[in-house]
Amino acid sequence: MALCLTAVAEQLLKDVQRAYSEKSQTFYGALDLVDQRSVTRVSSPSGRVAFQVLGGSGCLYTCYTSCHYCSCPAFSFSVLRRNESLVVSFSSSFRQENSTVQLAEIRMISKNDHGHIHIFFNKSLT
Amino acid sequence: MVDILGLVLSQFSSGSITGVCTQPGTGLCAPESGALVTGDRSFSRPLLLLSALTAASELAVKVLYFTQSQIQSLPISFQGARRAECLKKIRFVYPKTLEELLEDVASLHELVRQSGSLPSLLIVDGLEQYVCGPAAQDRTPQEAQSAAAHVVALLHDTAAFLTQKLGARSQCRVIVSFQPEWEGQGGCPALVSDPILSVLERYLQVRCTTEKVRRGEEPNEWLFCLTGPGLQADGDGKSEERLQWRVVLKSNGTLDFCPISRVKEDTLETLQNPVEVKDD
Repeated sequence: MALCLTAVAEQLLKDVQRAYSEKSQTFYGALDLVDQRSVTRVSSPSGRVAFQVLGGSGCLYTCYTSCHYCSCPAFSFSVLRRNESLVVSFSSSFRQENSTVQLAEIRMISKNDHGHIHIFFNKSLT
Repeated sequence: MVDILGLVLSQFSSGSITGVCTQPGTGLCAPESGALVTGDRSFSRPLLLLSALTAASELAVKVLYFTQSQIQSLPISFQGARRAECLKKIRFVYPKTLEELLEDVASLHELVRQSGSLPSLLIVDGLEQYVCGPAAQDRTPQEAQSAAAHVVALLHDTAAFLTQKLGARSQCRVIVSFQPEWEGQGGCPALVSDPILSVLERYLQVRCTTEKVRRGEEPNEWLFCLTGPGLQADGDGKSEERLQWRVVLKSNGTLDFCPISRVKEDTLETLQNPVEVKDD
């Protein structure tokens, strides 16, 4: 019985370690997008806010603040169609070097097979 | 949206709604404000119109109703002076294409800067006509799926923004009706996985379905069902509920909702007979 529990615990710890490692890679990749200033906060006089992300192809994509959506083809393929991207809540705080821009919280990050990273912001850049 | 639907059901119900939380005036509550109505348009359109009219009359809120086809008639339950008063709070918008619909919805935030009340209910009647109808024949199934996601995500985000601006006064709800291709063609909903439906359910957490009852006591009888993770019927938010009503189209054109606990699945068939609504 004790051996069995130990094996289960070890397997669980390995799963946690793997999941953490994968998410960390995605997370740091997402931060690269911010470092490259590829994420733009767009606001209107009404107070409406959305985010534009400059993709690797040079196209601009739109992310909404209240729900998980990106207008890029990769989101349609990997999230909507194949339903395989990470859809997990992930929060972190950091401050960019040499910048006043602060990313308060990253709500969800997903990454598909092609390395395209989606960032969904829960709070706006300030 | 479920609170408005609760009003509709309580107003046109012949029985009491049991097993659901007793939020004052509604009988239903849900953490999510978006709902997806599937089924034949001949039934879903009267239901959407009833929801719009009920929200305007009972909650005194402004309603925006998007549809591609003109509204030719209203449910017979709303007649006379009551209907005229309700219609003042409802704005019918007729975008012809997906692009026009997206532009109309994306512009709603500008209402904040204008005088007048903000809408508390956004209805899109017949989303399938925009994403895979005759006007979108060149669109591939994948493009149609992405277009559907774009519309409902924009609706979701717009409703969230309007809710924030409405403050404690109210919240903005979303109702979208969508008729899958297999509807009305004898298809079996349980065996068909519609890719667009799966996308819509990502953003609209309550699903309303209607199915024809084959051996009912009334000739025009349907099973109306509420399901989905956004439905919080017991008030504790711990479990997903499935609420059902028997809907009968009376000879005078009115719809009567009667809450039930469960219906045997072998008594159901795909909705094929239309619901009639009388002309003005």
